[in-house]
Amino acid sequence: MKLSHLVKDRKIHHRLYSDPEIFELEMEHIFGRIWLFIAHESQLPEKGDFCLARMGRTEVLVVRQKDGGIKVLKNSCSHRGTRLCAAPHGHTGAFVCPYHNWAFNLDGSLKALPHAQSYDDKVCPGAADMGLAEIPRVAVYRGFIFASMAAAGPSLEAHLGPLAAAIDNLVERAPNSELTICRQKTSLVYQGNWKFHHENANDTIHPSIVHESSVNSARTTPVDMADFRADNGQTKGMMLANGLPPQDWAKISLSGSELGHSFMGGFYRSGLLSSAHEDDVAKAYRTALEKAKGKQKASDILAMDRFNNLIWPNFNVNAQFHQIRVVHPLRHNRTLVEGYCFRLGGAPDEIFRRASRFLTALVSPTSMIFGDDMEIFERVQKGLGSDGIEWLDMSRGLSMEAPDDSTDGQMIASETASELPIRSQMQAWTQYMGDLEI
Amino acid sequence: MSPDTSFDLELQEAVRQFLYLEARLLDSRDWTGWLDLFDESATYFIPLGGEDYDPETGPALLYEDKALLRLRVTRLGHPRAYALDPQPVTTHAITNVSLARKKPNLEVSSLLSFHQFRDGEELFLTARLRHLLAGGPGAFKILRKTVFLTNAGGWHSVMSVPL
Repeated sequence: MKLSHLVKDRKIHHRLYSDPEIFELEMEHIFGRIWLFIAHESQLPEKGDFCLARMGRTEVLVVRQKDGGIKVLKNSCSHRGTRLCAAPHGHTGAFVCPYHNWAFNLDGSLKALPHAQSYDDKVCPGAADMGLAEIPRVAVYRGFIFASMAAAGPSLEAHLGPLAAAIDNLVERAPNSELTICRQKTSLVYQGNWKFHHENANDTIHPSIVHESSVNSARTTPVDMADFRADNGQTKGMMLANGLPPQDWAKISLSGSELGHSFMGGFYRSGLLSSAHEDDVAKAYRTALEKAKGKQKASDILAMDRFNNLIWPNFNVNAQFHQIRVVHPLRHNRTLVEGYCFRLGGAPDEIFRRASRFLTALVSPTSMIFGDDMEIFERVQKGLGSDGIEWLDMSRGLSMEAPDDSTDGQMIASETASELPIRSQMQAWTQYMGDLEI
Repeated sequence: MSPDTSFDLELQEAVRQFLYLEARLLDSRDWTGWLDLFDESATYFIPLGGEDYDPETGPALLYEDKALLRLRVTRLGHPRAYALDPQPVTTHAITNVSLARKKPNLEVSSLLSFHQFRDGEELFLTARLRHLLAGGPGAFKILRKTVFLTNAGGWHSVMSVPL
């Protein structure tokens, strides 16, 4: 049977979430081919700097080369397959295997090995095929490093399509257009399929239900705003925002693309987080941005009011609050979500502090908001894993879609609380997986 | 740092009992009783990544003042906090209590072993705790609590119950 039979206009078969065999095919045909975000350039400023990253289940070394370029190498010694480097990041002149001291240059070529006299000329420094396996395609979009395990395929720009604008917006929000990623990241594991994360992130019906406990706690706990010294009330604002009445959620626009990408409009209507609100910090920041880019440009940059910009299959850009999330599939029923925030070059320190608090409040394992999302993902996995239903429904808003003017018609938009983003993700899934037989 | 052994035993015992009380309140889900142990100016910090740093300078696993802890405690008791339904059963075990310094505030170091059982799943965590306390025996208040998780640099599942 072709896998395309498992995704219909309005239905998804449960095996997309519960079947380990399909997961294996996803690793090969989606994560083994598509462009994946792996690191930010600010993690590798100097020649010889490196960091570890994940591409699906494959661990890779992202290495700044002597010529300033970037190579991505599998973190496995070409001799016995030993995991080469265990440090999450660092600076080096060579990678040396802890097992037999095989040493590799920054470009992955074999540099030296012990007992060289016992090998023929197929195994010697510089020998072809004896270097570290190199990921064939690496591309950088405005400081964001992506890699693809496929030797050929669409360019990174073609893959990002209209969602490149989300990365542009994040970069442009820095007065000097330079971002620095913060090394402290959150790493949250849930016992559920990787696709749940993106399916949930732009679902505008669940927040007032799943997050009722945090909405309600923020509403009913008597606390003076002045007492929120740690974050000036930002977390409370985030908690309250999920409690928009249904008619207001329905007004938040959703846009989706056949590439699998989607975004939702902003939904912070009041307080520190709303784009209309301006306190001293926001004013100082806007002034810095205007000085660097001009009044009109600064105004345009700050006007992009979007929440989750989901780049399929596993990247989420929240430009407005200077955050990204990367979703790593571990098993069909186990997923890692990494959260990072950025320091905007030329912006007041307080802006970074706010981004830090935002990340902590939203995607930390202790989050009063995300914790309930994770619980729901795990309950969906349990429900599907026990053969609860055969088909999942994704038809909400199906007949209410129209071309999205804000992306010059490159995307489809819906002005209702639609499951359009999920349908977009399934379109992309079918494109990568549909012709495979199972 | 060589431990200062000049603290009197009575003070040491009072501190130990205070930490036991905190653990007991958490394990009995007396969230407001637990919150009452914190001074109005208190902060509660769980660093990310295994190093000590100023929580004002980066993200954290958790960084809250008493106002935010108030919201957290309301949610802990909310019937629709799905991550707490069914309720977790927990054990906070405190050991290796030692007084690190006396001034300007009493600083206490201890170890935490945390075990949670909920909905068929278990969670084990260990941490070094650092409490900064105001007041004296019988009237201690937490000024600052820092939880240095052993696996602060690793992967975490949802942590709903305060450590």
